[in-house]
Amino acid sequence: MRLLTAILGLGATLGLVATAGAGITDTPLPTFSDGHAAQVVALVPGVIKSDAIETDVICTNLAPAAVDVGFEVFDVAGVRANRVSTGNGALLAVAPGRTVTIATGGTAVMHEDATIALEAPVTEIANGSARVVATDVRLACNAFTVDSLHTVESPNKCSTCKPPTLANLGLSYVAASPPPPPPPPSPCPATPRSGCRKPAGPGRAMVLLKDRTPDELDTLLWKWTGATPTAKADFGDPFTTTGYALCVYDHTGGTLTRRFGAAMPFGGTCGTRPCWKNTTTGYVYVDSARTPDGVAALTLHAAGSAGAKLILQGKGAHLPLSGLPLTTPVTVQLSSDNGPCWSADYSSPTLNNTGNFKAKSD
Amino acid sequence: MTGRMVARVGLGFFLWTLAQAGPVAAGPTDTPLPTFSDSKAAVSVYIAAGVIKNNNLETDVICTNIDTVPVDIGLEVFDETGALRNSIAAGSGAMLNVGVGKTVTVGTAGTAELHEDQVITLNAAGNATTVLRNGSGRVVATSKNLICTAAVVDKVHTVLDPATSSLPPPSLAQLQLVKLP
Repeated sequence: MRLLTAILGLGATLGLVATAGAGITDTPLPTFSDGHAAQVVALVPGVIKSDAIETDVICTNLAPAAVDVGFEVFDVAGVRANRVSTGNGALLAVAPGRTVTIATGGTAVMHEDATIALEAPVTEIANGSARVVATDVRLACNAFTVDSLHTVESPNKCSTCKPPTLANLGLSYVAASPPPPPPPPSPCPATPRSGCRKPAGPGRAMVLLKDRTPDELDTLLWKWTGATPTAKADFGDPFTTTGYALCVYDHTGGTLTRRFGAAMPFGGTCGTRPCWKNTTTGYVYVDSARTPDGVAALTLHAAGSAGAKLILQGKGAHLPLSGLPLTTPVTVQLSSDNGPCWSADYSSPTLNNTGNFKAKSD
Repeated sequence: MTGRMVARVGLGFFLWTLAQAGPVAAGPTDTPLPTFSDSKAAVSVYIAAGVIKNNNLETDVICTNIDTVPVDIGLEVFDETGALRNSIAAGSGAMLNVGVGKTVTVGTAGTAELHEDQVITLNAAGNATTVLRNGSGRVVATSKNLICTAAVVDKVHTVLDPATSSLPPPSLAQLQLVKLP
């Protein structure tokens, strides 16, 4: 009877093993110790923790927020050898841009932030696999097998010292590659602002866009002359609080649609000088590096009797220009943070093709 | 108001300020792109995790210009905190006007075995040390039309004829790069 019970028990155990998830693809994903669910980032073949060889995985957080990162290793039979949920092989709240290393053991030549303690029944990984898991898939990683004992010593100091064995494991990202970081948020609202000041009359504003290859040759020029008096105070304080954005909208799909925007943040240093300069009638923005969005210069010129004059020039690869021609009518606005905006509509461009858009205002 | 209360209010304001602050630009994705010293703007071409400059290991990035015009090419390196540790604008890690079809190597230092055209001088940002134990990198250029590979290289050993030398060969491993769209 005891033998029968043992056999039945063994059979039941084997049955459970046979149906349990195993290996890097079908083992259920863990939850980190802070309660955040993990996703698979990358799969790693050839993981070794045997004969003084360890496996290190190095990952950089490309996401805009902190992520939990874990490294789960599996033995030759596909049995998971560590539990990320208990912190074994996990690093929590890795900040954006930071790089961390998790390894199957400490090595003399590499740096490790966390090392994995193999859990029963696994005691060695001669021929294993692994997966990188995290709370966001936007990681870039490299995995190495590393000789744990040797360091790189100068042959002048030690002619008999051998450098460590080191090999890249060629991990595979589960998403086709680490998904590209999201584009930075547009400085412009999705639809044009209402109530903007208008140009003095037809043809008193113009826009020129050139989309070239290479992007270094892209060009933006916008000139605007207003109809109503504009005080310098209307421009706000570009030194401390008032940034600007030039926003271009067209009628793609039949409705006004944001096509691109270029920001001129308040304050800041461009090269060795402040980006913004005070003038008698307004402000001038100059950025020879043309960051963040390709704007090289903006002139804000107030005027009492006539309207203001605004001139914006941009150039180069940072300009977010693409997708010409535009669908008319086109609206271009210069918008200040929490302040006025200046707008013009363009229905009849003189040029509107894949490389150029040129028009005077309606 | 007592001094202790003032201190508490001050600490509270400090913590509130920290909570309000947006994330600091860091690492190879959200650090603003540089401009080369010839005033040409850079775009991101590749990202690498695992850039190492530590324990006599260095990182070399080798790129070939497959564009139809000369391009500027640079390697930016970041330490484990995500701090940018070299200045492309100042020429550290940058090769200007690389001709069509030409191949260049930018390294974190010179190595005995490989050839480097340009080596990076680390600045004092981030962890302010002279090593990258746990770094990352970004290949930038004036064109996306590059093909690159990278390696972690033992900087002190060379490959010598075993018939005449008992010195061991260098450690050398490829570093996987991620091409950006």
